[in-house]
Formats: sequence, C-alpha cells, structure tokens
Amino acid sequence: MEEEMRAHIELEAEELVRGGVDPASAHRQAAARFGGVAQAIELANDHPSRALLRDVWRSMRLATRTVRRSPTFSLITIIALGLAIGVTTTVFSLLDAVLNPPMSVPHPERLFVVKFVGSAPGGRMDWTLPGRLLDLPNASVAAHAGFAPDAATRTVEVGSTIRHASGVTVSPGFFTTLEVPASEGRLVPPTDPVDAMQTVVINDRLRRELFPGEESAVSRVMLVEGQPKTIIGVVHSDPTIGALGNDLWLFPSPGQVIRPVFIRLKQGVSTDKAKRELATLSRRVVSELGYSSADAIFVLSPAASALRARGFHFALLGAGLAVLLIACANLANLQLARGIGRSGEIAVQASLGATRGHIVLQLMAENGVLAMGGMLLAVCLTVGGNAILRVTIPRSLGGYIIAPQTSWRVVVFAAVATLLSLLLVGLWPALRASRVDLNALLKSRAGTGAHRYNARWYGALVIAQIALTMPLAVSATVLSLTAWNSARLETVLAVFGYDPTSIVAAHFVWPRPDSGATLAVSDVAAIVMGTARRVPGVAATTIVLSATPQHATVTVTDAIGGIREVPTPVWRYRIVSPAYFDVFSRVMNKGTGFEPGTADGSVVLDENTAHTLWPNESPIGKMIKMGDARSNAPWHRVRGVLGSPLDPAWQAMMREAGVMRLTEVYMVLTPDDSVPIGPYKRYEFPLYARAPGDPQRVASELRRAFVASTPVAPKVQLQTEYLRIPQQVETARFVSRLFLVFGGVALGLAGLGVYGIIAQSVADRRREVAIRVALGATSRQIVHALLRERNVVLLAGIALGLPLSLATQGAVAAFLSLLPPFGIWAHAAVCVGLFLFFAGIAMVPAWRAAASAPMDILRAE
Amino acid sequence: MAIHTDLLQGSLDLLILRSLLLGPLHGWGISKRLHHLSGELLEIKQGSLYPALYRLEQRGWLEAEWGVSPEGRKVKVYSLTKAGRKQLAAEQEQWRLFSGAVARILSAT
Repeated sequence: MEEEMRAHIELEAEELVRGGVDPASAHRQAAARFGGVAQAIELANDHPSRALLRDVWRSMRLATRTVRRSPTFSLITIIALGLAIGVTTTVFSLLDAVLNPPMSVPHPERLFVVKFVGSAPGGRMDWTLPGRLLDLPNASVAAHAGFAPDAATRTVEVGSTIRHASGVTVSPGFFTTLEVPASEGRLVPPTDPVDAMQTVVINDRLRRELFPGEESAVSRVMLVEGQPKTIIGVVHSDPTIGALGNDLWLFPSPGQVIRPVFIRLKQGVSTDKAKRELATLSRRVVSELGYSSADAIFVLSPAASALRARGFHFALLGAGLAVLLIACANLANLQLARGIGRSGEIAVQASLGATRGHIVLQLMAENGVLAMGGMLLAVCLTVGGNAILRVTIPRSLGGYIIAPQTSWRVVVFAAVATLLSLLLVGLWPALRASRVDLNALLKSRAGTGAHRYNARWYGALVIAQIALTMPLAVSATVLSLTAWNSARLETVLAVFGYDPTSIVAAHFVWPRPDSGATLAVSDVAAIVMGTARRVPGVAATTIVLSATPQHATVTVTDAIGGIREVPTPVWRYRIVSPAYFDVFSRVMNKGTGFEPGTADGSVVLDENTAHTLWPNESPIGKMIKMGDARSNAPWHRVRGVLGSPLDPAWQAMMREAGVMRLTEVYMVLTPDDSVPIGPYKRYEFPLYARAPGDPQRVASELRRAFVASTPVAPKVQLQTEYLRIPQQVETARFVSRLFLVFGGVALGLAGLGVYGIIAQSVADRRREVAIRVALGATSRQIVHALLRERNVVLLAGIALGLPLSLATQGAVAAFLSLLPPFGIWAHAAVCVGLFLFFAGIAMVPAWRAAASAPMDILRAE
Repeated sequence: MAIHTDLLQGSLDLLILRSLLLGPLHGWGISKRLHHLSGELLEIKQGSLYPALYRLEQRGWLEAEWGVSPEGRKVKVYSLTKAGRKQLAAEQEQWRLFSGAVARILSAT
C-alpha cells in the first residue's frame, strides 16, 4: 500500500510540474496535499480484530523492551516462576504417572481384561469353558491368556543368595498375548506341561540381583520356594498391567486350569464388534449347556488399570502448589512494588491518552513475556526433574512402581499453571498500578512517605508467604529427621519392639489331616522347633499363636481376694514357646520370664497390661483367667512383668484415653493345647528364630531342614524380617529429599519475597528515617521503629501457617510407617527457626536504611 | 468551493464504485476522475481514499492488479467486480431515496 501511495504522490507532483511548478516544490506540495502516508496505512488496516492484534503486538514489543531494560528484575522473576512452575509440574507428572501409567505393551488399546460371569447349572462350573469358547474360530480375539490367583511373595535362592520376589503362575501364552518382548532368552515355555512347570521367567531387576555381572541368566537354575526351576527368559516388568508387575512368572502344572484374563483383539476390530461376538459366544453357552441367559456373560474392560493415588501424592501436589503460590505471592508483590515505582511513568501514559485498558494490557504483556520465559525454564526443569526422579525414586514406593515422564498432560498442566500464575501475578498488580491517582501520587511525596494502604498490602503478602512456607518447612525438617532417625537401630527397635535384623520368620503351613482327626498343636510345634533347633546358626526359636479370651472378658483376682471381670473386646493373648523372650531379646522388669520346660500355666504380661488390670498393685502372684468369672477357663499365675519399648508417658496417655488397655499377655503352649481341624482347614502359624550370624543363610537352611525332616513336608514361607527395613528407610529418605527440595525452594522464595517487601516498605519511609536520624535517633531506634510492625506480621504468618502445617503432616504421616509422632516441640522449634530466619532477613534493609546518611536521602528525595 | 467527502459521510464508497463503472483506474486516477466529474467541487482526501479502496477490495467489490500508468509509473489498477456492480446498483438506489427525502425536507414550506 505504501508503494501505491508513493506512486500517487509522484503522479500528483508530475502534474504540478506540468502546470508550471518547479520540481522541488511540486513534490513538497503533492506530499502535503496527500497527508501522512503512515496514517493512511494505519487507517486502511484499522479492522477491529486487526487493531487488537496490532495493540497486542505493540504491547509485546514494548514489553520485551521494558523487560530487557531491567534485566535483574526480569531474571529473578523468570527464575522464581520457572522454579515454582517446574517443581509443581514435576510433582504433577509424578501424580500423572500414578493415575495414567504409561503402558509398556504394544498396542495397549487392543488389550482387554475379560471376565466370564456365569454359574453352571447345579453349581459345578467347568472353568476350562471360557478358554475353550475363546478358542473357537472367531473374528475378534487374536489371543487370550490368564494367571492363577496365587500371586504371592516367594523365596528364591541362587547359591548363597536368597531373595523375596513376587511371583504368579501364568498361562503358557501369557507373554505372547501381551506381546511383551524378551530382554533375554524366550518367554514361551516348552509345550509339554511337565517340562513347562520346571521353567520360570524372571524380570530384569531380579536378574540383576541374582546374577550380577553375569552375561546371561538363561538356562540357570534357581530355587523357588525350594523347588528348582530353569530360567528360560528375562522380561521388563510393568506394574500397570495385572500380573505383569511381578518379579517372576511360573507356568501351570499338568491339569491346572488357568482362566482367561486378558484378550488381545485382532487388528482393526472395534470393542463393540468384539463385545457383540463374545455375546454370541455367550448365547451358545446358554443354549448348549443350559445356563440361564443372565448368567453367562463375557465382560470386557480396558487392560490398563489406573493405580490409586494416595493422600501422600496429594500432599506432594499440595506442596508443589504451595511453592507455586508462594512464588506468585512473591512476584505479585514485586510487580506491585515495581508498579508503584513506575506510577510516574504510568501517569504520563495516562495523561497522553492511554486508556486504563491499554495500561493493563501493557503491564500484562510484560508479565506475559516473563511468564513465557518462566514456562520455558519450567519445562526444562520438569524434563530434568523427571529424569532425576526416575533414578532416585525407590523401586517400590508404597507397594507399586512409578515412572514419571513428560506427557502432553504434563505440558498442558505447565501451560495452565503458567496462565494461572500470569493471572495471579499480573492481573491484580496491573489493575492496581493502572489506577493512577495524581492526587495520591503528589501526596506520597509529602509527609513521611509511608503509604498506609501499601503497607497493609505488604503485610498481607508477607503473612501469605510465611503461612504457605510453614507446612513445607515443617514437613521438610521433620521428614529429614525421620529419614535420619529411621536408619538408626534404636528407631527400628522402638518401631518393632525388638531387633528385627537377626530374626527369621517362617510362616509354617501344616497340611490338613485326615477328616475327623484331631491335631495336637503342641506336637506340631515340638516337631517344627526340634527341627529348627538342629539348624546351625539358630540361637533360639519360638512359635507365636494367639487366642481370644472366652466371651471377650478376662477375670482377675485383686489384693483382698475378690475377683473382677475386665471386658477385652478385639484383644488376643499370645501362646508362645518358653524361649520367646530370648528370641526377641525382651527384658523382664519384675519377676521372672519363662524357663525351658515351663508348663505350670503361669503368664507374663507387659507393664501396660499390669497397670490396667492392677493399678497401684504389684501384679506378681496375682491370678488371671482368659474368660469371664463363670467360664471353665483355667486360672494362670502372673510370674513376670516385661519392660516395654514404648514410651511410658505415651502408654499412660493411651490407657487414660481407653485406647490401649490390654496389650501383651503371654503363656506357654502346653501339651493339652489341641485344635480340631475341619475337613477344609489347614493349620498355620509363624515360627520365629533368632539367627545373629547370617539370617539369610539360616532362613535357607531352615527350609531345607523342614522339607527334609518333617513327615508331612509342610509348606514354608520364609521371611527375614530385616529385609523390610531398608525399603521403609528408602521411602522415608526419598520423601524427605522431595520435601527438602520443596522446603528449600519455598524458603528461598519466601526469603526473597520478604526481603523485597521489607526493602520496599523501608524505601517508602526513607524520608521519615532521614528526619528521625537528623533529629538524633540511634540506629537501634530506627531499626526498632521500622521493624516493630513487621514482627507482628511475621508472627501472624506463622500462626496462620501452623494449622496448614498440621494438616499436611497428617497426609504425609499416613504414608510413612516409620514416622514417629510429630511432637509439638518439633513444630515449635521450626516456628522459632522460621521467625528468626525471616526476622534476620527483615533486619538487613532496616539496618541499611539506618546506616545511610540523612542528607543523602533528603537530597535524593 | 471544494467539498470534502468528510461532509458526505458514507458516500465515498458509492463515488468510488461509480467512478470505476467507466473503466479500470489507479488510485490517483480515481481521485482525479471524481474531482473532474464533480465539476471540480469534490476533493477526496487521500487519507480516506486508500483505506476505502482497501476496504472495498477486501469486501470483494473491487479487484486490483499492478500495472503501468500512461505516465510510465508502476500503479495498482482497480476495476469493478460483478459483486461491485450489484453493490453500486443497490447504493445508487439508496442514495436516490436518501437524496429525494432530504430534498423534500428542504423544500417543505
């Protein structure tokens, strides 16, 4: 268009020349007659949408220039915003991984869980039927597979290495149906079921633990629950698909029926078509086998199962959002302070005709440029954060594996968080700053210079920042202490009540005897313990059974010979071997423990139970009956009182609250203890052995001894108790690290914010400070005058943050089993620490103001 | 006396369309033709002419292509489209009604 207009002016000038005007003035006259070319172009482009676009573009260009003019402020804003959005988005990606786990199988959309809901006439269901039906020629189902309901932790051994691994029996076509690739060997067992049941597939984690540094694990033999199995392949497990999240996979024994669980649809087959075809198959069952039509149905659901997010995850997200809010409050304040500082410039813009909308648009554009920078940094931090999380996250966090990754949902979340920050950070300060009141502007130059209205806003922002920082700082402190504590043996002792590092627990299952036979538990215990004692390295063994008192009541004698009934709902006493206290290294406080051969029916109880049953009396020699007064239960004499690992004051509090009335009462198993076993029951109880040398080795030896020497070859599941500790310690450490990051970022941001606010507030009162100094005030008096109100604000922030902090602790505590109760002292210490931290920060600008020369300040004014 | 098109709000589009009924022309030519046809009474402000040309082209009433003027200058030549002719007819009718109404008001006694 410009070219066209230039041509117009040239043509006009030429005509003037033809009319006798000299060329130089002809051009000038033509240009003057035409008017402004730029203005005409602007008018031509003045479509409403185009005008808005032009305004936005202009604002963006101006904003970029303004942002570049104050690089320090811009950099601080971008880093703060980037950090906050990055932390929040990283946490979101963790939550996203829990709720929308990425599936590792190819074409997960074609993989479905199939359920056959039906009951055969007469109640005898033939479970081979669903599989046979799915095998019939059809156009929908490409393959089907299943797993047995026997998923459990199994003990595996290779040489001297013993591990606990989750395992399940799967159908031979399990891996081919899921289309999971093998990372080593093959995943299809031999076709002969007898050969197949001798084989096993393991996951890569177990492979690393059992065969570290070895080239291949294929064809190696390992013991699974004492049974030798040959490894045929290694696979990468995936916790998002049922049964694929295990450590090892066994194959069925001959004749074992595995119900179909997964079906893979053929390519291009829609779910609806598959459902219709499966319904046809169901109808065939109905007509041929006499099922009722409502009874026989195939139900399809997508194979991807979302894991359940826990309170802990929401606590993390809450922590991330709190960091974001702190950053926003912080930046809003900086923007506001800057806006107030720029009020002169904004006033000039307004007086030149800029509308309030234009000013707001301009300020928002500046924030938009900063927010974009923040988002770019946040996306980089999220990608990096996810990479760090993936390597530092414990293998099993709360029972399942999670692998956070950057997905479109994460990017959308980052964009929404940025938009939210932009609105929070930008809109309100922009609206405030755009409200230019020349009167107020002039007034602010007079008097003390303190803006009462601004001071109120500064105070509110400081309170908000401190309140949001509190839960994070308290969580970070307490969790770090917990993680440090949880690794210490004393903590472990306090949690378990004994030293679990040398205890081997064997879950002993005795098969059911012939129908009608009565099994003497004492006989079984004698066989089991006799066998265990012969294993080298076992220092002491005990069985632990429990029983409820008759009619949920115990009866006790008192000092004057009377008897008293004490109701004991949902409480059980323990029947143990005499060596029980040796195994668990429990110490007697009063009286004596059990001796070898004790069979006099005496009992040992703990201090808490003694306090409940005989307050202010010695329990030794008193009698107790596990039943009400009229029951035929025998009387037992109290022979000793155990010390408790729990805090006595806490126990007393729990007793008074009626929560912890009866706790530990022990008696020795006698030959009279028999248990009638019904036709469908088996008898099981735990056996504990103390093996101070090498518990893993002893656990392995114990199994061999049981299998070799007991006449009925009982099933034994071994667990070395101490294996449970590192996982809890690991989880505690991971969570504490996360909260340390949150706490650190939050504290840093809040510190920066509080400094900025106080500095601005002090700057507002420069004139007052100068006059006070000129009138002879000391530095101390100046600082006192400047910070007097600040202390109230800091304390208000802490007071507001305390309930938030307590609420967060609940969510975090629910997740960590090793977490000790949060003492009020821990909170108090953190509160004092925070107050000192913020008060220290607030001192800096105040001291700087007090130290400056009054003449300089007044001259600068 | 020269009359500025500012005084004739809304009539500029009609004048441009009518001037092009006589044949394609460039911007300067249009302003000259209007000046000439009005008996040298109408002076089109160039600041209004080009935005109007641009607007009419956007609406599809005019089409433009770059060409060379008889003076040998590279110019953008505008011509009426079919839609432009229809629009001209409609605006002429509107103007006839409007000017008739104004005349009746002014001649009322």
